[in-house]
Amino acid sequence: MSDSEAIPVLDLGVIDALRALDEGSGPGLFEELVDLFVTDSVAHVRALESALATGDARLLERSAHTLKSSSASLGAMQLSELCRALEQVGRTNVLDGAVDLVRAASDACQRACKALGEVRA
Amino acid sequence: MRKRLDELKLTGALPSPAGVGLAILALTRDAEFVLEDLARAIQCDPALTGRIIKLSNSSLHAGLEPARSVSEAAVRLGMHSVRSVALGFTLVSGNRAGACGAFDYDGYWSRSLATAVAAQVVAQRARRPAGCDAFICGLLSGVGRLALASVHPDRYEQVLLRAHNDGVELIELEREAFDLDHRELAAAMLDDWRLPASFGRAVATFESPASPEDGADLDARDLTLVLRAAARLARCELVAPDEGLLREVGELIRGLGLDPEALVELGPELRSKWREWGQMLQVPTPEATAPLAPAQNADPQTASGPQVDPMLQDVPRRRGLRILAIDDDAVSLRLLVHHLQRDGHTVALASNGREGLERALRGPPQMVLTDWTMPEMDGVELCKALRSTREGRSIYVLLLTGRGEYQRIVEAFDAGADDYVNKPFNAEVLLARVRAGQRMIELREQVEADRRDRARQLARMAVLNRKLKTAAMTDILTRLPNRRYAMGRLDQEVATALRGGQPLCAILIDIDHFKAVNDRYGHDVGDRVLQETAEVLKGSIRRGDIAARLGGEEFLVICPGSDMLGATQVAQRIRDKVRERSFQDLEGNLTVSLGVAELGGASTTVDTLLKLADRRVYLAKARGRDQVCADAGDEHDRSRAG
Repeated sequence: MSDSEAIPVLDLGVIDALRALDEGSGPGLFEELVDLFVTDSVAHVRALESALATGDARLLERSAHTLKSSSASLGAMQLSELCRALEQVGRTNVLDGAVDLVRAASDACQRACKALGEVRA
Repeated sequence: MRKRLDELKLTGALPSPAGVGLAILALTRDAEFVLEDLARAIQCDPALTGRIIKLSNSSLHAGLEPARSVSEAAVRLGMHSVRSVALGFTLVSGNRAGACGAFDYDGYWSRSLATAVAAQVVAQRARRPAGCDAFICGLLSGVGRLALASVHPDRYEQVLLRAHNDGVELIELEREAFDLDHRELAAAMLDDWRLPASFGRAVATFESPASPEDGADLDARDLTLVLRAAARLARCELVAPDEGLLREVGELIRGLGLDPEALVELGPELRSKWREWGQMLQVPTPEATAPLAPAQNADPQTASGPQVDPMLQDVPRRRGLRILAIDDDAVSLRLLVHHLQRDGHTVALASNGREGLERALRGPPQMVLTDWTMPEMDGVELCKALRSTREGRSIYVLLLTGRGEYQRIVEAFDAGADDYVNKPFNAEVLLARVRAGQRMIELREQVEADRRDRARQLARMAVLNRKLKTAAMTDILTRLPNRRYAMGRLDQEVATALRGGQPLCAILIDIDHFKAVNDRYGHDVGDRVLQETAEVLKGSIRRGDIAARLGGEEFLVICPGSDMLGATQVAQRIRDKVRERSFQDLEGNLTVSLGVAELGGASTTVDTLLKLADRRVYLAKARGRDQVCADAGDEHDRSRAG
């Protein structure tokens, strides 16, 4: 946990690289990616919570995996790192201790969406 | 140069004629070789055979029959030209794609083919040099660049990009990088394949602006001029129109003794021939006038005037792939699509393995780029599913793997994946992997296209053979089977009848007074009478009977399985129908005399059976004609007939 606190909410290097993609292709790609992420990540966090509630380790692992890669794509490294940990937990099939991780992921997700909303504007 | 060429040959990557081409090289090592050997080697490859015959006929002078075989083509073109042509063509089919990323292989052959066609057309107008020599020289005119791209793919890519971006002379960069340039390399290669010396000279000099030195032999001089004109003409007509180049072409063809005005009419001919050949060699022939790339106008080489190689446009310009991208993570998928489209590919999407599989099988993409971990069906399951279907077998599968999954890479390859890229991906690495895949895909498609081409040619050949065989067995005038067929068939039927104890009858038919018809009305009418008689025969026999024309006015009907009674009825029907028919050109009626004989008794061979039938025709004639004779005849007949 303390590790993930040291990681920034947003890796601005990734954001710059994504913004640079827009130059060749007209405006909108970056904004589009952010919107996609905001919509999707909320759904994935819900899936994490429901996996926890029903004890579905497989669902936990898969949702964490997907959220891990989409958050990494947008530089939301804190969230990505938490998801990596959750994916591991899901794989071990023992969900003890996942409660804190899911709550942390949910918070990190909100922070990431907020930060992305700010850079998007 | 010889030594440098040998070194390059050792790399094994130098373009060289493949398959039949190699056989031809080996066969014709000596200057004196035998046409039959050459023709036999070429005929092993039906596609090549077709192409050579087409070239031979497209350089045809008026009044000559088109060639139908390699040997005939060799007579028209000359043996040595056929050899050049065969080598040239095998080179095209063997070097359709390669490893140099910046080298546009399709574009290269497309433009070479355009130059070839233009060279042939110009040479034909100028009446020198030989059209097919000009064609092959044009086709191979840039082979040095192909060779450098094949032997040094990476370094040549750098050279090409520098030449394109910095506007440095390609020749200079080549010498700097390889210690030789594509012109001398091309000449050395053509010499190595022992194509005529004039070919090598022409490809070595046609790009440079200097006029061919006076010492050069006339053939080489003409070829050089033709190539120069052709390269420019091809570029103007087929790639993009350019006033300046056209003026140069005008000057060049004036040097060949042609009126520059003659250019006006060349365009449509060039384009249609280019298309035709493109189809035959499976080289793309895109629509003209679309400028290749925005950078082209800024190309300092084009701007600087006459010392350009007008065909030198081997800058990156690949055709994109049809790619299906599959990922359950919408953000990654969107990024993936962005990068793939930026690199010129057409992308379809799916958000999980199952959906991806359905899409892939509905309209197979050339490449599937899929995430590994997905709900419903993961990447590895998708691989397995694809590989178990016919459509999915040849799709190139590139797997995206997250960190931590690398230990399962072997599992992925075993499931049928072709390659993998780590996630999160670096866009440049991903695109490079896709390009590497594209080379594999294009090679595979090339092999497949060649195979189809060959199968098509074989099928065409089989049809031709069947037609020839039928022709050899058919009487041209009446379209009935001829004597050769009838005798063979009768042999078989007699053997079958004897073996099975079945009856068999033969009816011989002879037109009465046919000589008088010919004498009175002429042979044309005589021929028509024979045709109409054949029609009557066809309309009178039963299923299973065989009617044939034996020659002259004599016909045969074989009646397998038929006894005397049945055969006599058939004979009687023929007699009646002929008699009742009003023949087109005849006044009055025509009649026939028929003899029916059955297998058995004294007639147990084809020979004795036909003799008996023949004797009965004779009896029918003796008894007054216009009748069927099915009996042995009595003493009275015998004395009359005797």
